[in-house]
Amino acid sequence: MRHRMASSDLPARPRLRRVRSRPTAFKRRSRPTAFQGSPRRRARLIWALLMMAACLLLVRLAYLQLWQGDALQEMARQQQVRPAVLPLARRPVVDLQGDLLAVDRTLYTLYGHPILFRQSPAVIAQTLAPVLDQPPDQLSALLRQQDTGLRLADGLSEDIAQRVRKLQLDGLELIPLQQRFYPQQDLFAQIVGFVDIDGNGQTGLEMTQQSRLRVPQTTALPDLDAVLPVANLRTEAPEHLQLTLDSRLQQVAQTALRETLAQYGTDKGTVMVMDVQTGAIRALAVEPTFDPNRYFEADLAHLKNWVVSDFYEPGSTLKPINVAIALEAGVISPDSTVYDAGQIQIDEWTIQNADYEASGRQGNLSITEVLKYSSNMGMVNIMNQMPASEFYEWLEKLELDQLTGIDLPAEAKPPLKNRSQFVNSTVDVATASFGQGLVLTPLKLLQLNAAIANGGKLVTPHVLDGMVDETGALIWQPLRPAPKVVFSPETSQAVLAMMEKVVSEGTGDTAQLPGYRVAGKTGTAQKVTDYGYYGDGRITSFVGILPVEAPRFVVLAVIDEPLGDNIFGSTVAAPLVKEVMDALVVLEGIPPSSPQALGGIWVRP
Amino acid sequence: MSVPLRSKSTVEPVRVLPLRGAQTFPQEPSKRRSSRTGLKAKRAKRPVAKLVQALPKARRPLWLRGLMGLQALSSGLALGTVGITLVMYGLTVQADRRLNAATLTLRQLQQQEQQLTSAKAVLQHHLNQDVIDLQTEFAEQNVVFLEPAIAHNTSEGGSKPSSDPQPALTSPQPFPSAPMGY
Repeated sequence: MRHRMASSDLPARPRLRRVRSRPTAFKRRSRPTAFQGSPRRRARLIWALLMMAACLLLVRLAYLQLWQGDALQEMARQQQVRPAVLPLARRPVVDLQGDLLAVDRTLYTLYGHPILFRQSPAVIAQTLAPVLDQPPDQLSALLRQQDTGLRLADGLSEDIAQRVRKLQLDGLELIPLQQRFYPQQDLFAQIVGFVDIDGNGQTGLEMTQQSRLRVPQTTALPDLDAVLPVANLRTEAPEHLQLTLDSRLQQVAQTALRETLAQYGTDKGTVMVMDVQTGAIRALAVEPTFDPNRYFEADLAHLKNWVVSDFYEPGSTLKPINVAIALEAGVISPDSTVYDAGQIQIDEWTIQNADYEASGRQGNLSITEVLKYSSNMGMVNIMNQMPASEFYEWLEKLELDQLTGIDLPAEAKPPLKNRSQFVNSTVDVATASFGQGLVLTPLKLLQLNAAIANGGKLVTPHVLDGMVDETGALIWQPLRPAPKVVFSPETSQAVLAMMEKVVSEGTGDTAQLPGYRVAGKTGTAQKVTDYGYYGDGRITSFVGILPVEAPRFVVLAVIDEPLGDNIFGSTVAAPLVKEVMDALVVLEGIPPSSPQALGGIWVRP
Repeated sequence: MSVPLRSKSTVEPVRVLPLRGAQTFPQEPSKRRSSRTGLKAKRAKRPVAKLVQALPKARRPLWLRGLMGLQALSSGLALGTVGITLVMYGLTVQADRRLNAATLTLRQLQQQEQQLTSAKAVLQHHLNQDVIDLQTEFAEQNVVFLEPAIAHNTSEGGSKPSSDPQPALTSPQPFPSAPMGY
């Protein structure tokens, strides 16, 4: 009540004035200056100062933005760009065990910019020479050639690049580059292939699986916008392309093949191991080959995988297939016998057994003995029991003129004589019955023999297992056609038993593997010269299947034109197959055949 | 609003005359008021009355109080925002530095991983090669090696004698000069 009355009579202004008036008392004592005039004048002064400052700022802003904008923008961009992190260019390739067959590797190119050097080029050269393993004089001379952009060294590893960085020399620039590296060197060159300097796969799976191996690239470098430093980093482990090959077996096969080739003075051959049930190839050793890390030094002729692109006359290794055809067609039975005349004359051609001149062997042979002694005449008589047209249909059914479907590039389709020519030519039928006069690739022969081993199914040979993640889980697998049934299980079992006799008692005894039941067939075929006639050149081969009681693998060795006096499939190719099988049974953990089946074995304590 | 207390000891209670004929109020024994009125008295050099009316407290209108409250609130908010901004700025700078350092480490580790993987593969390849070159057998603990005790007794009675396991085909004789086929 009191307050209300007081407020109506006594406004607060006088008190406020008094409080404010203290400085004025002091002001009265000081001498007034020009800037201490009226408040309005001072306010104008301050306003003018502020406006002047604002104008100056505007001028400065305009100068920075309009005159120096581009240069400053570029400088900012350079500061914002972080050291380049090269993204993975291609996914790794691994074998069945996960061992690396192809992987990306960061290499560096060292550039010098002498204009930025703080020391003399001679000092820089002296410092760099031991790191780069180059003569200092040469390096010094190089550094004096021009002011900038000098390429000092190529292909520097991360270690050397790190040593160069630790020198902390101005004017040196390390440019990273992803390069494909093949740690197994030439071991898988014919399968994996190589990548050229532009990052394009040129042969092998590097070419056929290019789209799957290439990692999709994103825009690598940041623009003016802020970019987190992790933007270009790999956030997840890359997927791997897994093959069905086993690098341990491959190495054994390749080494054994090289030794065989060296022993017989030739440079072309192959040895292959395939899973008969799935068609997965476990080893594919091919000679000649090349080092994909130095593909530019390779002979161009060596870049192709002749196993899938070249044809040859298989010779006697095709006899089991023909026996299976005859059995399946019902013209013979496993217990049949045929007459072997040793030699016959068809038109102007003389056909005889390979050992006719040496043994002069004649007489009746069982079907097993036909294979065991690799009797040409026996085979001619077997196949003559069926119409030539039916024989031809069987050759077509076995897809002798078709691709196997392997996932390697440049597979060639074997030519098959046209039907009328084959059917109307007695000599063609006769020679085809013991594997000559028709051609196929070694891979096709492997596929056909696998059909004998797996109960009559024509499986698709393949080296590609699929795409796996870092845990090894399969995340993609190529689709393959279902195996085509060409023989009955009974037929294939009968032929397999005959082939076992070939190894245990016949021409293939050099492939015997102690403790294991092995089936096989030798082959020694003549080569056609460039003029279309048979010459002295031979192709020796051997196909082995093991274990007979439950076939798992088929091994084929083909040696082209071995030199020497004792050149047969049994002497050249069969020991090679045995050596590979020796490693195969251990690496694949194939148990030995039962003692009963082997007819007396003892276990070494 | 309040006048600071000054010269408590020197100020004596004075009498204050009412201003502008205002109604006289009984003076309260307050040191504060006494001191204030004492100063006035000194300055005015006028006799003071015993009782003075308390200076009316300025009554602010509602809108002014609202605005003042709003100002206090916005000041507090501004201060808080400035503080938060500074803290956030510091955190982002720190996070950026740590992220940079971690990224650098990660990149180096990735490069080392790549190097080690390649080196391991090369080493493995050479080891395998050495093993094969040294003719070392592939022996594993879970493999049982069997050895035939005697030569196989072939029970099968073929038309050809089985006593000679090496047929003529594999005998070391020169290849026939006549073509096998055509």
